[in-house]
Amino acid sequence: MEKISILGVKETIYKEVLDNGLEVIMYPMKNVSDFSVKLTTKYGNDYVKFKHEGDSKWIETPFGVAHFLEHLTFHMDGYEAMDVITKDGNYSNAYTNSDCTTYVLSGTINYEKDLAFLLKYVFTPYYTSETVEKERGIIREEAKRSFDNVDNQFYYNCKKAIYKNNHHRDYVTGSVEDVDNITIDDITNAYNTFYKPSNMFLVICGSIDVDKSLDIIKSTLNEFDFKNEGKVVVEDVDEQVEVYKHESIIEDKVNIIKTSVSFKMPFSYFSSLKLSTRDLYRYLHFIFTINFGATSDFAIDIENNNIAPSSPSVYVEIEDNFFIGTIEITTNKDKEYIELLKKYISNISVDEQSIIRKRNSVIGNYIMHFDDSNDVNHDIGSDILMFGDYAPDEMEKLNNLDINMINKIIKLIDKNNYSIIKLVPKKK
Amino acid sequence: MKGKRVNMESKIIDKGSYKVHLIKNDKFKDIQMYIVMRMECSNDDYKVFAAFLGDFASSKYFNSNIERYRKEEELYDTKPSFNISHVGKLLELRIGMNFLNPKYVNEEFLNKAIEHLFMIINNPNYDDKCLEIVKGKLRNIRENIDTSLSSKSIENAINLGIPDSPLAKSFFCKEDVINNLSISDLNEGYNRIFKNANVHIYVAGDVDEKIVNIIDNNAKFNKNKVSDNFYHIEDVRKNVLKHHDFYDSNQSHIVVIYNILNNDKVNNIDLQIFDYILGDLSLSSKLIVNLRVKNSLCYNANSSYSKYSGILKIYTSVDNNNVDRALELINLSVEEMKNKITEEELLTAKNNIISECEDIDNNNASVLFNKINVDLYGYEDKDEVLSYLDKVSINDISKIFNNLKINTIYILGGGNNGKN
Repeated sequence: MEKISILGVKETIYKEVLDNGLEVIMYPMKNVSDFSVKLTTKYGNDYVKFKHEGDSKWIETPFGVAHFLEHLTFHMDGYEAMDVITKDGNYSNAYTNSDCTTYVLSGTINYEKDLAFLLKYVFTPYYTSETVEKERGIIREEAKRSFDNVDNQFYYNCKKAIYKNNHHRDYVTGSVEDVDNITIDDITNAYNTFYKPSNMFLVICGSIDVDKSLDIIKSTLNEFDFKNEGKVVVEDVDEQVEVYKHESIIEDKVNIIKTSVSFKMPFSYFSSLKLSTRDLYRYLHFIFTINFGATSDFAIDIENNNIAPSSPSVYVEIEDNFFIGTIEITTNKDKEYIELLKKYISNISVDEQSIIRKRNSVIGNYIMHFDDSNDVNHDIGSDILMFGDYAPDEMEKLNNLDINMINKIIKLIDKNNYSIIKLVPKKK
Repeated sequence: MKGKRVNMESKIIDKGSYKVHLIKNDKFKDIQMYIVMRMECSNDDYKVFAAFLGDFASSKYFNSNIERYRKEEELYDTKPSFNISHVGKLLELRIGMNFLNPKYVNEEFLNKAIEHLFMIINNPNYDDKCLEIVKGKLRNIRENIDTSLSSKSIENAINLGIPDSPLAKSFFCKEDVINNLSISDLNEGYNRIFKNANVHIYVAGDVDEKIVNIIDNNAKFNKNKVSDNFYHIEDVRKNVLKHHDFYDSNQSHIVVIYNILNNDKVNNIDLQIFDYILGDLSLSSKLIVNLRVKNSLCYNANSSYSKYSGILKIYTSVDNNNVDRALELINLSVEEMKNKITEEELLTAKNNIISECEDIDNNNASVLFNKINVDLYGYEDKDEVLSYLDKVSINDISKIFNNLKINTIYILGGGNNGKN
């Protein structure tokens, strides 16, 4: 395996791409007895029209197939995969989002047995009309539960204001109607296209022996006959640069107004800078948190003017070819808040002192994540999904942030391309 | 196969008004510290909650909270956390701080981090601005409960079914309480716990007794005792309380509350195994098998318990038309605990507890949580748990069924139907 040193923390990760195409990353930890395993397929709710390269016919599915498939993957012939792992004293679960589905295994005992079993059950599709119908009822309840959840509804309404067409607008579970319409054929098509090692990666962190783990992975996967059908092509969704709605108001069962402001920043804004997506993301994170986060001058004004009891929460996401920078707050003084925010939006800037302070905070968390098998597994997996690989030089990059580059990025952000979404109490 | 075992050197230093427990290890990149302050609970506990709400919104040494947060960012994101809970009849304030091992920063860092913590907690500044922040945060808590039907159903079930339980004291965020809260209430809450609490400080990480001197230079605590008998004995209802609040929602949320009789005598580990088998074992628990796996009625169904408050609680959410069926299956699941526990279920529960035990030493926070539970709350230590698991039988677990008495069945949902 390729040995990669993580700069600044004296840690090492190991990487190998197997003959079948599966990318395997391992981070052995000396001082712990637990392990965290995540097997991810790059297939999420966004992918509703796809084919293999060279095929003339596209395959189309309803929304919610990736999530439905995640549920069905745990069914084996006559038993449940999750039961096997629970009986061994370990934890297993899975989650689906817009661009991936991840199968999780963690615990402290029976690692080797359950690692092999995780690979076995994910690569052993078993669908019958009985299991499909059984899961359909459960997923219907899961979907209804999420429709009753105010925060969940607000999240999707925000996406619907930002995007006109992009599939981040659509429920990961699918609507109840989608769930009712999903067929075994939809599920089989999706499985055959996306559940193959060349479209997946495996990250293992914790108390593990790297060589032994690799042997287990290889010998388990050797039992399967993976067909090489070529690269998967997913239909691009044409999405406009401008936010779909600059302002929208949603009514729900709330008493306090929730306001979210999201900047839509296509990668193309910054192409002249010749920076990697990772570098841009890091800089945008600093720009947004320094200007609007819990320690910003904006937050001081919010506190001093008694606009809200807590600072806004601020985060930057990558969704397809867009950076989305979001600022959220809960307050009934929403008009004052927006007025103040607009003032700060027109004056986005950073200074050396803020960068140093924010950098210290990021470094503190970065270093401490290496103590936790789940945290570091999450960091590696997120990097692979967002940037294609895991970078061992993050500390070096953090220590060499370039304020001139930050100022160039600030100039390129369209300060008017944002969407204001308010969740307000229902009129009685 | 069992995980690695690592010895950690443990030491107690008695400083008179408080004790410092040092658990020295050089396994991790952080240092974890908890100040555990305990006292008898009372009806005024909400004042203590309010005084330490969120991240303790006041300090004389900073002009604003933001100024304080900036200082914490400079200190590599070293910030205190404040957690208040009831453990039976006790009120516990746990002040936590997690910070980098100074070897990644510099020698002075340890001093600066600890000074920062005590500068905050020793110097509250409850003024009008702070009061408004606290009230705003309380209203946000109220809002979070009201907009989450699972939280709302649990709060309603506890307030209706067991209003005298310590568990009910945590649900104090009501509009009149918030509106009437005053600066003197906040001062009273702060002073009550700082004057009366029994204090233990726990530290885990690559530290030596130097840290005790730094703590002692900054700490200001009073010497107090706390009772060892902190079990709350809940009154048993003659008739089960059944209550349905109609609400316009896609699902109905069901909460069933049971008294655990003789909770002060029930074995900790037996109760943990009972809860695992009933409702806390992923897809293998009786509730999940009966409600989800066999009948596709729900996405989630679980049980949880508070030994010191003598309560076991079941929660699920189902289609509005399936409430009666779900209640039948909840009852069936509990009945199955009487005489239908299998060897396989017992083994699964044991394996999960073994796995939890092996996980204790995997980070400093978990090391301290376990140590605090053993030292202050009478839980068995890891070796005692593992050795007990060798001998526990199905009969030991089934017996817990006889200690359960149903108290409340609460339902939130079912559509408006013209009712409210």
